[in-house]
Amino acid sequence: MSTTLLDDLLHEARPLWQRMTEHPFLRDLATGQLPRERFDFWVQQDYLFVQAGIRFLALLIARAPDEELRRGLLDAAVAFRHELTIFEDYARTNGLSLAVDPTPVCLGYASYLLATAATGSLAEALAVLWGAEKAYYDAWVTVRRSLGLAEPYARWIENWTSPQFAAWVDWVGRQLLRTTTALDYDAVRAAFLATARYEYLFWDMVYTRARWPV
Amino acid sequence: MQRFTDELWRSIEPIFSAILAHPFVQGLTDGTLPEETFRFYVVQDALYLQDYARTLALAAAKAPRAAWCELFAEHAKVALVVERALHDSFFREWGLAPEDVAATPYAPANLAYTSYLLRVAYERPFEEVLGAVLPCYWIYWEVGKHLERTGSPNPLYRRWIDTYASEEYAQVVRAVIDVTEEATADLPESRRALVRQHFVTTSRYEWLFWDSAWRREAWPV
Repeated sequence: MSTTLLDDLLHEARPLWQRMTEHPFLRDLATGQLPRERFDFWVQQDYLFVQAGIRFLALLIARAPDEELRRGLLDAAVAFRHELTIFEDYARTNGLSLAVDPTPVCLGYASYLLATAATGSLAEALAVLWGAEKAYYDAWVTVRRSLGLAEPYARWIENWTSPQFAAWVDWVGRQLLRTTTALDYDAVRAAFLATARYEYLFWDMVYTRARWPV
Repeated sequence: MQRFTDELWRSIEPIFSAILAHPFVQGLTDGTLPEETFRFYVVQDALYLQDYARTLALAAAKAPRAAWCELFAEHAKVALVVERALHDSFFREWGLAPEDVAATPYAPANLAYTSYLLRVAYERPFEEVLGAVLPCYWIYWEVGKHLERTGSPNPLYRRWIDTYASEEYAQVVRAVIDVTEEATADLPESRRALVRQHFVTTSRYEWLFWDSAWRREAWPV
């Protein structure tokens, strides 16, 4: 598999990627215009999503064929648990409940992650992981560029734009490269695009797709 | 004593009413449903059935009794046979090759629904998997019976309705309801609540699936 796989994926997703990183939610957040209740809504839903992410990593750890992959994913699971404390501390300080039901988009995205880890190929699952983490890195780097480490977002911005996080995203990319064979390519591509779409929808749901229609 | 499955059905009555009242379902019987919308639905349904079969295979793998394992293994096969029958009876008429169907992207509601089914089937205990798979069986049976009474002026829609209103299909659904009843009989309320939660969630996804077809839902990006 060519080493340009990651570039190919990003190239194909470019228009979608741009709309995601320039979503009004992030734009408003970066310019300090985001109403607090919109941010709180995102905090509640993303907390559920990171919890699903730990389960997703656990499934991948169980399937990891070698020590390199297993170790990296184990470290990530610990880092995800640390991420949850950022949400918990914010919720405690602001009297926000984290015991909420997932929106259709949150449940759809979390289920997609877990279904892929359970029944997809390892390469597909790594494409989902790389897509989700790369999306977060790019989105929050954009925020950091205009906002710096401003409150109340500082810990999230710091977490998702740190050199350690950048190194983790690169590491996942390398794992995806060495795992993907020619046979996996179409499924990897589809999984990466589906992940990018869900990333867009996750920001967008704060505005439009918050409720179950029935 | 009240059957747990009756209680399950009662918990989704508002959702079921919303399904019957949905313009897609209404349009099947009064014939106003555009055929292109119906085609969108049948293609998505064919994609859905492939994952539903996988879900049922996982249910079979988790079944605590041999008879239940056999039942779901058989139903997994039936789901794929039905999927192929759709190809034969509808897709050929529309000039759609199996490759065209396989290359169609999952609509958002379909991807969310099938992902939810697979994830529950993989992660959760047998009885919760039953809670997640039961609405698809049961709602189609009830919708089929309801639509059979009203019929449809469109022979294509009539053919579709007849599949799910058949006595053969009724027996399939009754068998799964009975398994659910037995598998949940001795469960504490805390575990029944989880079964109920999956049952309600996938019933909502059933409504979303019709609605998605009605809107010929595409990904916004």
